[in-house]
Amino acid sequence: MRRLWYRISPQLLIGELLEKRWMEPAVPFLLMCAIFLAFVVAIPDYGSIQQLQQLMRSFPEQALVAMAMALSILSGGIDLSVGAVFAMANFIALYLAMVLELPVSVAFAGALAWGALIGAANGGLIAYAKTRPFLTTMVVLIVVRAFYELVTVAYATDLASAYVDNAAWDFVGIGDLLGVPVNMVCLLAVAFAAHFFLTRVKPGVHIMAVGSSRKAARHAGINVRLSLFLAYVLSGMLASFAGFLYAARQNSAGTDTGVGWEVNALAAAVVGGISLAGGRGSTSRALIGAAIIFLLINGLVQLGTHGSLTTASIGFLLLLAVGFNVKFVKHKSKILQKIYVSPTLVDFTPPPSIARDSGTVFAENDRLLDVEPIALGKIEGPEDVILDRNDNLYTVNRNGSIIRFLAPDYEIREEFARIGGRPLGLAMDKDENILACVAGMGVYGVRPDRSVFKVTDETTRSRFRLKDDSRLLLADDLDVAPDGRIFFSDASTRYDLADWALDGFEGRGNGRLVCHDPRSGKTSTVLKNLAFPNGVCVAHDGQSVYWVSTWLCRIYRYWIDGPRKGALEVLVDNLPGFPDNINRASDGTYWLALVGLRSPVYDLAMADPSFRVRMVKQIPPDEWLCPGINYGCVLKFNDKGEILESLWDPGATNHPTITSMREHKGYLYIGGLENNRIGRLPLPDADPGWTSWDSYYGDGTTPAAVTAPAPARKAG
Amino acid sequence: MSLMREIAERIFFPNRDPHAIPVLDGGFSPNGRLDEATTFAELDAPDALTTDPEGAIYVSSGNRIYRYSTGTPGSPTQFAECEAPVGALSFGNGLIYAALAGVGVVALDRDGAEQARLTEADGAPLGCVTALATDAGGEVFLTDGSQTVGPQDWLRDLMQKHRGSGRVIACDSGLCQPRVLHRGLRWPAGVVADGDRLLVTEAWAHRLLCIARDGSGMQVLQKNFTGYPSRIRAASEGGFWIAFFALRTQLTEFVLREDAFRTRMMMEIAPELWIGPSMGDHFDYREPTQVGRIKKLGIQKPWAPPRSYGLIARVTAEGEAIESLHSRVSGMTHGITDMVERDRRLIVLSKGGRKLVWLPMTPENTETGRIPA
Amino acid sequence: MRKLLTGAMGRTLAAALTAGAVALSAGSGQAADPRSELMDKFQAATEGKTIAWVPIWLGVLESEWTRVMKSNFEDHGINFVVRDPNFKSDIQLQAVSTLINEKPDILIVQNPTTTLLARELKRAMREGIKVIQVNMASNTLTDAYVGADVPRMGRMLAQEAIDTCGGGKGSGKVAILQGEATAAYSLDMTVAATELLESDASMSVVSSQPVNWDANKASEITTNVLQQNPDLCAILSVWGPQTAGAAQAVKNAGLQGKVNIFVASDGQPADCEMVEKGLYTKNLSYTADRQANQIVAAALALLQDDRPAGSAQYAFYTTNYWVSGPEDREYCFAASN
Repeated sequence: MRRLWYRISPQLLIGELLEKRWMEPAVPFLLMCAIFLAFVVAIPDYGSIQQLQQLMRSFPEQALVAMAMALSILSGGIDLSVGAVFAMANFIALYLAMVLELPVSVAFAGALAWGALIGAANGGLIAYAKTRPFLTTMVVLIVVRAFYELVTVAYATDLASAYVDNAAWDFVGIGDLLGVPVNMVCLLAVAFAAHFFLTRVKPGVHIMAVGSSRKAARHAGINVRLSLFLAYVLSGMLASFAGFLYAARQNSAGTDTGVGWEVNALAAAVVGGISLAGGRGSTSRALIGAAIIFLLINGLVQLGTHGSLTTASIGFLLLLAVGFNVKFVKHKSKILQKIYVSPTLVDFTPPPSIARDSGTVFAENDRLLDVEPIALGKIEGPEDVILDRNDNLYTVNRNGSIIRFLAPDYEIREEFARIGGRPLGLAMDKDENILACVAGMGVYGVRPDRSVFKVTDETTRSRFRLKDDSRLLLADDLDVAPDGRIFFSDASTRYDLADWALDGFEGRGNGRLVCHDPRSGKTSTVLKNLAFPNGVCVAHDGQSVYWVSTWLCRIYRYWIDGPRKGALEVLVDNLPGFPDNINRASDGTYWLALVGLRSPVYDLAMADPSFRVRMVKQIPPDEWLCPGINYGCVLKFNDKGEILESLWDPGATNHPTITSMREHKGYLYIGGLENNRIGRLPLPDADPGWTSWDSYYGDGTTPAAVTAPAPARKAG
Repeated sequence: MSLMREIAERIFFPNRDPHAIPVLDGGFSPNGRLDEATTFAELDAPDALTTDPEGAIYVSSGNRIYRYSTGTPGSPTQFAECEAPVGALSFGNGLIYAALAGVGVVALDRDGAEQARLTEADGAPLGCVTALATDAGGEVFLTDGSQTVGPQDWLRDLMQKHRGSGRVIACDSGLCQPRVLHRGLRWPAGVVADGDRLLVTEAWAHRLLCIARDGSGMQVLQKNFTGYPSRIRAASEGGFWIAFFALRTQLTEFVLREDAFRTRMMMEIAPELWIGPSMGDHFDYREPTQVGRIKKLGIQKPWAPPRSYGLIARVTAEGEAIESLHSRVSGMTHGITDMVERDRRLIVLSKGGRKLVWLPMTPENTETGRIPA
Repeated sequence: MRKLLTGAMGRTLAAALTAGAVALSAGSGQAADPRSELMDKFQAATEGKTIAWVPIWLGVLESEWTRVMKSNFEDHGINFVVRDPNFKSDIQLQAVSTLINEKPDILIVQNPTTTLLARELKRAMREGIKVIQVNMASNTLTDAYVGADVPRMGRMLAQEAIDTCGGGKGSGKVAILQGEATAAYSLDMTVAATELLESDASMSVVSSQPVNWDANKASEITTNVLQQNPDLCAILSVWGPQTAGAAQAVKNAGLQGKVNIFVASDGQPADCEMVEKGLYTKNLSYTADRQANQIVAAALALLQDDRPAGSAQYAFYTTNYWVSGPEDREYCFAASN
C-alpha cells in the first residue's frame, strides 16, 4: 500500500503540472471561471443565454484595449495612450458615421488610420528616438485626451442630436452572428490572429524576442527598432479598433469614454500573468485578465453594490491578484523545485562488503593504482571511450564534441566532430560509424569522414502522462545488435544530466530502454518505468541485451532474439555500488563500471520516502543526500551473473566517478563522467589482439591488426 | 496541507528561513589561512595542547603526552603515558593537568609523575572531561561534557539529543574540593577564566556562555554559531580563541529533527557513516554524500556542504568574532580541537588532519603564507 | 438576490391575495364598494411588480431620488432594484442591457448623454418594459419623461441675467457653465439660454463651456474667463455642485457680489447654503424631492395603464422655484445621508 502510494504520487502530478508552460495562465483562468461561477450562483439568470450574449457584447472593447496594452508590454515597453486612442477613435468613428453620415467602412478605416497614426508616433519616438515608453506614451495620452475633450465639446451638439438609421452600423453595434454578438466575433478573430501572429509569424515572433531580451534579439539579427515600431502601431490599431466597435455599440462620446481604461488594461495584463519585464505572456492571458476585471465589475453592479464599494473592492482584488501573481511568477521555480522531486520507496538489502579485508570479490584492492593517464588535462568528462580498428581513441567531451586521440601514443588531440548537447555512451556500428548517446538531444552518429548524422531524437510518447516524454531527454548508453538494431537507454524523462543525482534521490522509474531500427527508421520504447537505465551491452551471443539500473544497483538481461525473445530477468542484484556502462571483455565476459558506491545512510533514506520528501522541502538542494558517486570501481561479470573480479583505485584520487571502461588489444581504457583524463591499464591475461569491433562484426578469427598495440608507457 | 502551507510561505515570506544556520561572513568570512599554515608535527591521535612558562609545548595523543621542549618542530619527548586516552591539557601551578577519558583529571608534575587525581564531583563520575583551565589564583576549572558517554563518543551524544548533562566544575590546585558551578549543559567543550567569570562553550547548543565563578548565574553571550565550538583560550591580542571542530549543516540539523530516521540510523549503521559532523580523520567510500559534494572534474568545491571543516575564530569578550582562520571543505586541516600561542605564533591542532600546524598570528604576516625564518 | 427572491414571493402572494379577494367578493354576492374596488384594482396593478432604476451614479441628487422612490414603492409592495454604475457610461449601458434581459415592469433611467442609452431604451420598450427617463432625457422618447422643463430653466436663467446685466445695468457679459456637453439637461438648457441671450443686443456670451459636472474644472474655466473678462457680469450654471468651483474662483478673484451667479439645480442643501452665504446670487431649484414624488406618480400611472410599453409619451414637467435667501429654504431638500 505504502509502496503504491509512493509510486503514484499525486505530488508527481502537481510537479509536472507546474512545470507546464500553460500552467501560468491556468491560474488566472481558474480565477476567471471561479468568479463567473460565483456570480452564476449569486445572481439569478446570470448564466442565461440572453445574459451571456449581453456579457459578450459588453466585453470585447475592453478586451481589445487590454490586448493593445499587452502587445506593448510583450514588446518590452508599455503603451499608456491606449485609453485615449480608444476614446478618440470612438469619436472619429461616430463623427464619420453619424455626423457626416459616411459609410461604415469609411468610419472603420478612419478609426484604424487614427490608431496607426498615433501608434506610429509612439513607436517612432520609442524605437527610433529612443525615448522611454512610459513617459512617451504618457505624454501622448495627455495630448490625445486634451484633443479629445476639445473636439467632443466642439461637436457636442452635432453628436448629441445625430441619430442616423444605418443598418450596417447597427449590425456592427448590436447585430449578431449565430447568436454571438458581432463585436465578440471580431474580438475572437482578432485574438486568434494576434496569437498566431505573435507565435507563428516572423515579425510577431520578433516582437516577443525583442521583449524578452533586446540584446539577444539584436545579436540574432532582428531589426529591433522595426519590431518595436510595429508593436506600437499594432497596439494603436487594436485600441482604435476597440474605439470603432464601441462607437457602433454605444453611439456616444462622453467625457468619461476611455478614461482610466489604460489602468484597467494594465491591470488586466498583469492579472492575466503577463510579465511587465516583457517577452513573457500571450494575448490569451490579456483576454483572461480583462475578463476577470470585466466580470467582477459587471457582477458587482448587478448585485446592486454601491458604486464606490464596487470600485474599492475591484481595487482591493486587483492589488491582491497582482501581488499574488508577481509573487507566484517569481517564486514558481522555487515551489516547483520543492515539489518536483517526488521520492519513492526503494528497499535495499545490505550489499556485500567492499572492505579490503572482507574477502569478497568486491574487496578494495590496488589494481588501478598504476593506471597510466592518457590525455591528462586535455579532456573534460570522458564519460565513455571507444577505439577504432586503427587503435585511435575516441571519447566524448562535455562541450558536446567527440575528441580523437591518435595512436600510438595518444599525444595528439583533435576534435573529431562536434555534435552539441552532452555526448555520453559510445558504440561503433558495422560501418565504423561512431554512435553516441547525447544527453538532451538523442542518438547521433559520426561517420569516419567526420560528418554527423542524427539516428533518432524521439520515441513513442507514453499515454496518460502529462509530461511529453516523446523527446529523448537523457540518452545515456547504447549498443548495436547483430541485426543492426540500436538499443539505448534514456535514463530519465524527468531530470536532465545536470540533475541526475536528483533522479537517484527520487528513486523512481523515470527511464526507459529504447530501440531504434535503422531498417525501418522507427524508434520505439521497449521497456519503461526503469530506475535510471544506464549501461547497455549486447551479449556475446547476440541474443540478449544487458542493461543496468543504476539506482536499483542491478544488472538486467533482456532477450532480444532467440527462443526467449522479450523476456526480462534480473541477472545480478544488490551490487555494492551504482552500475554504469557495460562493455564486452575479450574472454567472453563483461566489464562493468561502478560509478559510485552505496552508503548505508543513503540506503536507509531510500527506504523512507517521507523522510526524503521533508528533506526536499526543508533544506536547499545542495544539501540533499544523494547517491555517493565520488568513488567507484570496475567489475567483471559473466553471462551467468557471477561477479568475477573488481579493480579499485584506492581513494579514487585518479579515477573518481568511473563511468566506463573499454577493452582493446590487451588494455583497459577507463573513462569518467567528471574526470580530466582517461586511464589505461594493461591486462596481462587478456587476448592482446582482441578488439571490440571484431567481437561484434569480425568473422570470428583474430583479425589482422592494422597497427601493433601501442607500447605501454609505464605510469610514474 | 503542509505542502500548501509551504507554498504559501514561499510566496508570502520568500526570505524567511525557518532553520537558519548563519552563513560564514563578517568575522567568520572564509579564507585559507589554516591550509596555508606550515605543518608543525604529525601525530597519531592528537587532541589537546598546552604550553608551560618555559615555552615548551605539550600535546596529548592517544594515551600519551608529548613535549616539544623548545616549542619548535622537532622530535618530541614523551612526557607521560597514562592509563586512558588523554584529552584536555592545561598548565598551572607548576603542574600539567590532563583529562583522562573515562577516568577524570590527573595533575602531573614536571617529570610526568602523577601528583593528584579527581574522578568524581558531586557524586557523579568525571568520565568525559572535555576541557581544562587554570587561573592565576591556582583554581582549576573543567567541563564535563556528558554523563552518558565518553569524549570519543561525542557524535553519539549529539545524535542522541539527550537533555544536557554536562557540567562546569571548579576545584583547587590540588584537585580537591570540586564544586559544580553549572549543570545541565549540552556538551560543554571549552572553558577559560576571565576575571571573576568563566567563559564556557556549549557545543550542541552552539553558544558561548558566561558563568560566574561563584556559581551564582549563567548568561548567554553569543548564540547560534555556525560551528560547534570547543576549546577556548585567551588571546594575547585581546579576546579569546575558540576552536570549532566542525560546522553545522542543514542536513545534520534536519536529521536532528528526524527522530525516527536518526534512531534507525544509530541502530543500524556504524557511527563513522552517519549523517553528522566529522573531524575529518577517517575516509570511507560509504560516507553519505550530498548533492553539493559531488566532485566536478575531480575537484571538490570549497563551498560544498562541509562534513568536516577547519575553523578557529578570535572573539571579543562578548563573543563577537574579530577574525577567523579556515580550512575549507577542499582543505586538509580539519577538525580543530585546540590551539595555543607561543612567541606570536599560533599553533593549531587538527584532529582530522592528525597534525599540528603553526602560523604567525597577525594576518598581515600571513600574506606570504609562510613563517618568517 | 434576496430582493429578487422576495419579489418573486411577493408576486405570488399578491396573486393569491387578489384571487382570494375576487373569490370573496363573488361569493358574498354583495355589490362591491367602488372605493375598495379602486384599491383592489390599484393593488392588482402594482403589488409585486418590479421597478428598476439606473442613475448615473448615487450622488446627493440621485440618492434623494432613490430615497423617495424606495420608500414609496416599498410602501406599495413594489419591488425596487437599483444599479449604480458609478459615473461610468459603459457600465451604465451594461447595467441597462442586463436589466432589460431581466424584464422589470418599469425601467427608470437617468441618461448621461442623449445617445448612450437611446437604442437600449427602444429595445426595452420592444421587450415590453415601460421606460421612464428622469430629468436627463435621451434621443428616444419613452413612455414617460419626468423632470424639469429644461429649456424653460435656461430661459429663466437667461432672463434673470438680462434683467441684472442687460440694458446698461451691467457689462452684459455672460459666461455659461455647461455640464456634460452631450447630456440633454445641459445641452437643452444651454441652447435655450443662449438663444434668449443672443436676442438681447446688450448681452454677450463670452464663454460657454462644459465642465462635466466637475467643480474643479468649473473653477479653472471661471478663473480663465475672469482673467479675460474682469468685467464679467453673470455666470449661468446648469447645476449646483459644479458651480461651487466657479463661486470659489469668483471669490478668489475678489469679485464676489460683482459677478452674479445664477444656478439651475436640484435643490440639494448645499445649493441653498451657497445662496445664503451669498456665493450664489440666485438658485433655480427643481426640487428633487418633489420631482421624485412625480417619478413615483408616473410609475404608478404607467403600472395601471394596460396599454403596452411605448404607447404613451407622458411628460411630467416639474415646477422650478427661485431660491434667493434663507426664506426659500423649503425649496431645498434635507440631506438624507
